[in-house]
Amino acid sequence: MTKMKRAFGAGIVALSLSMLTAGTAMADNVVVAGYAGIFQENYVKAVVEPFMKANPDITVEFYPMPNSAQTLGTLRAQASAPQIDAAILDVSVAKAATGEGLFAPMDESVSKHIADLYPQARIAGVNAVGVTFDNLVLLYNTGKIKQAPDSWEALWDKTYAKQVSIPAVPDIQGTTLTIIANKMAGGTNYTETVEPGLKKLEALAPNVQTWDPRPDVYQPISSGTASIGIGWNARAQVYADLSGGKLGVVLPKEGSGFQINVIGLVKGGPASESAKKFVDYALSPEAQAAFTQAMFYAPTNSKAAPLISKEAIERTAAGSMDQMIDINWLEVAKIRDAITEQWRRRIIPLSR
Amino acid sequence: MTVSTAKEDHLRLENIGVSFGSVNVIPSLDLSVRKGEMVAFLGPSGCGKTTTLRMIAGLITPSHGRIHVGGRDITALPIHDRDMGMVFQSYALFPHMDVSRNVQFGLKMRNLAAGEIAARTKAALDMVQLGHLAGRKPKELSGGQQQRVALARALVIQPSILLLDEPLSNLDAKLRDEMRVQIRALQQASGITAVFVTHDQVEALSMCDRIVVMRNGRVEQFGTPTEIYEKPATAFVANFVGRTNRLKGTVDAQGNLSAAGQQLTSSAKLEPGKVEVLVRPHRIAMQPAGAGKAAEGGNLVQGEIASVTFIGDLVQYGVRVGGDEIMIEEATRRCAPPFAAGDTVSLAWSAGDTLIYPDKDQ
Amino acid sequence: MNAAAETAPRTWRSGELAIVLLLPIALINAIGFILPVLNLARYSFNQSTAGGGIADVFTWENWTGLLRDPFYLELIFNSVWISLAITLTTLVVSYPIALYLHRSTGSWKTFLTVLVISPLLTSAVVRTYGWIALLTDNGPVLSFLRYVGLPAPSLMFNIKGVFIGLTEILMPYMILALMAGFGRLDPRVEEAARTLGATPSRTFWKIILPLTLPGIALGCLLCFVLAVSSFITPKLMGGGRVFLLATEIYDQAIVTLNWPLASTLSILVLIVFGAALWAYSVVLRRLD
Repeated sequence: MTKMKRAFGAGIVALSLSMLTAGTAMADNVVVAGYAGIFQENYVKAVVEPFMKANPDITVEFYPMPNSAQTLGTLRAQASAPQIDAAILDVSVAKAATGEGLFAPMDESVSKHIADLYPQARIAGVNAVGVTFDNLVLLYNTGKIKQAPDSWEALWDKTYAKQVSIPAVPDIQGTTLTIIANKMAGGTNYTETVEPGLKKLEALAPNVQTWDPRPDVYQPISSGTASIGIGWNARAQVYADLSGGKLGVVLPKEGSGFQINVIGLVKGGPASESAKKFVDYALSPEAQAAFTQAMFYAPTNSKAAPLISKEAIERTAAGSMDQMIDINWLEVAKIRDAITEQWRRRIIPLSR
Repeated sequence: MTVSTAKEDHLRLENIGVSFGSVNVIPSLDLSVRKGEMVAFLGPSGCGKTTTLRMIAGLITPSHGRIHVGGRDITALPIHDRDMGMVFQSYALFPHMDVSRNVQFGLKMRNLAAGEIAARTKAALDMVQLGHLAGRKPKELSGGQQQRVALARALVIQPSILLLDEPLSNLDAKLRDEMRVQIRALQQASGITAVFVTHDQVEALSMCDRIVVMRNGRVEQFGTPTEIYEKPATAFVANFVGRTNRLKGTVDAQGNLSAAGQQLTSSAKLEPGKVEVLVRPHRIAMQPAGAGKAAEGGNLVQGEIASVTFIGDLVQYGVRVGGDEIMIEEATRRCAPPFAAGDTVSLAWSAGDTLIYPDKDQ
Repeated sequence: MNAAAETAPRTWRSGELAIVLLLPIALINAIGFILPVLNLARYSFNQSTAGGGIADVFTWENWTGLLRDPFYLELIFNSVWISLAITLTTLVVSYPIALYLHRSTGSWKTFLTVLVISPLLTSAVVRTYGWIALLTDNGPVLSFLRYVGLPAPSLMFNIKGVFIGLTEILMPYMILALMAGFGRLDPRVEEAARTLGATPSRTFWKIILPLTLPGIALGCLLCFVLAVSSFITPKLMGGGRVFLLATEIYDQAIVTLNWPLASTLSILVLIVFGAALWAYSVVLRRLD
């Protein structure tokens, strides 16, 4: 049933996209695919609208996608006649898209800002560049946990037995936690082995209430269904504000790992030149700063920080870049299946 | 109304009655059936005959009264302990079982030995001449065969009473005649007490020892077929059993009866007042006008033929007498009816065939 | 002769009409179902590359890998077993309700039928959240159990929760299928059994149950298929601990982006459905 629905959904997407482009064929219309929900809300306000104001001859249509996989699926389906010009998606998915030849090359001829990006945002072998940095954070319910925890170790605290909410692998929040736990347990190079991390997670398992929080990890912790968990910083910050302080967000002292969203140009997209213009703007310090200000993703442009308020920057990882574990997602992609297997066989069963 | 014969009463209903919600379907009924006799419950639909049968079977719990079988009060017994053999109008065979398993069912429920079950099943199937169809499923049988299976299934358990609920109404006319004879023969051969519910007077008259004519949950008359036909207790019985002419009439203070503008005689006791005069159509002799002669103390009236209806073995004449029309039936003895519409004729019948009832509700 | 001449063109015309009427649904089915399934079958022989890419080569790897991996063997076995158990539980709890509904009459029956069907008007997501609220560790059910001093095992985010939730969600389907099958149940036949000396319980086992087997078979087929393919409830109530075919297909297709494996699993689900349908037809033939 879900398969059918998805196929049907894809059909609707194709149909509405073709109608959309047909209707505005005269004006230059750029279609940008990205995450739906609060990401879309904030991105349109902070980046898309200012861009259109500056470029009245270009309209930008933000095409919402539930996740990177759906974006890749849509790009695949449209490979022969793309309707999307640019896509914002997770770096490892972008790597797959690059491998399948779905993205046009991305270099300084597209945007001179690429030179100013942090090294983590420029990934060899991927035809897309970092547009947002996010990082894993510790979430807690401020009603249930009065003293803000400062370490990932709080997850292991027996006080919170059956109160821990962890989005498990294959979700990359679980993958990121594995790498963090690996470091905490004394592991040195996660690309060689994550065995120490897995061992440490085995001890976490009995504490876990759910490995698959729904609709996301932020709601159950805000509402107190769970007391503590892990999530992505940007969304956590937004929901922390929306929850009226019930959701607490901490970047633990052991540091964290980045999740990288990249932006790529679709090969053969209908509005290539205007799309390049948009990508250039999206990577500019102003756009980067505006989006950080709005949604607390850390900027990927090293020149953006001075334009961001101190208050906002403190709520991102931008102020503590040195504490970040350098996660090479392309390397992780190769061991991801093995990590997933270990979680399923060793870790999750311990929480039954 | 109590009809009872002390001798060998097998089934006795005492002040039995039932209400469904506010509807008092059967107010109170007293009835006795003798051992080995076959009694018909006859009446129009809704008269309570099937309800009474179902109370005997235990399928309906009476609101009050007692039911006795063979001197034992069974009112409180559950259905499965009543030992009744019931044949349903729709036969109600078990569709998932073949013929022999249908017949065996009651024996198995009695936990009899396998050998006895087999022997009795075979005997029962032979009795209804269906031994060769033992392996068939009900849907592979004709209506008449299904009927016989139902009968065998009810009889094989040697029940204390055989209950038949309109068993012939789903059969075609010819088969119905055959089955009437067969059921009666089986009942007499086994000597079983049987209650037969029907709305068909022919079935009741031809098959049963006695007939209970019911109406609106009450017994109108309980008697032998001859009594019911010849001496109907009420105008309803006379009208329901057999065909009859109904005339409005009066009896004056001198005891003179008049109806249809004619002076009539009757051997019934005459009370002054409005009456209903009933005469069976085939008891009236019709002759050309003037030729007719009244028997001693009989009736003789003149009329004009209004209609002639040929129905094979019978011819029905509608004869206008005064303001009324009297129906006459004659067996066809010649190929052409001797009378035609417009003929004036004289009608003669005996005083004993003039049935008189007080004109109450009609 | 005459009759044949009259009926011949009519049957031909109605045959033509049948084709015309069937064509749209056949086309929709071909485009909306058969083509995607063939596409899935094709993907199941492709190779997945790290990070969610698909290499367009022909390989049996997905199939052999699946059948060699104990995790997936257990997953398939669990899916079928759990679905069967849920189907059976649904049958046991639905049967008395369906029988009662079948026997009730008038506006009471209408009211009860609406009551039974009404959950279908609410989305499974909403109903599942309802169950989460009820069964959660501090929810009313466990609180009550603890209050009366009974053991209160965790009913949420594990297989027990999935079991309870799916059973309730599938009950309307089972009840409707059973009621459709109860058409064969003539009350006179039950009465006949009773007059022949069968106690109520023997009447149930010897008459009512056998006569309702076609409805039971239909309900079980329907619920089994729905249970195997159910995704939302196990996802929401399983807490990531319950690995079933449907949730695994989702994870592989959407999260891990291993489309070849997801396709292989999907085709496997189709095979399971085919087996269920075959079993159903065998049962029906034997009942007839």
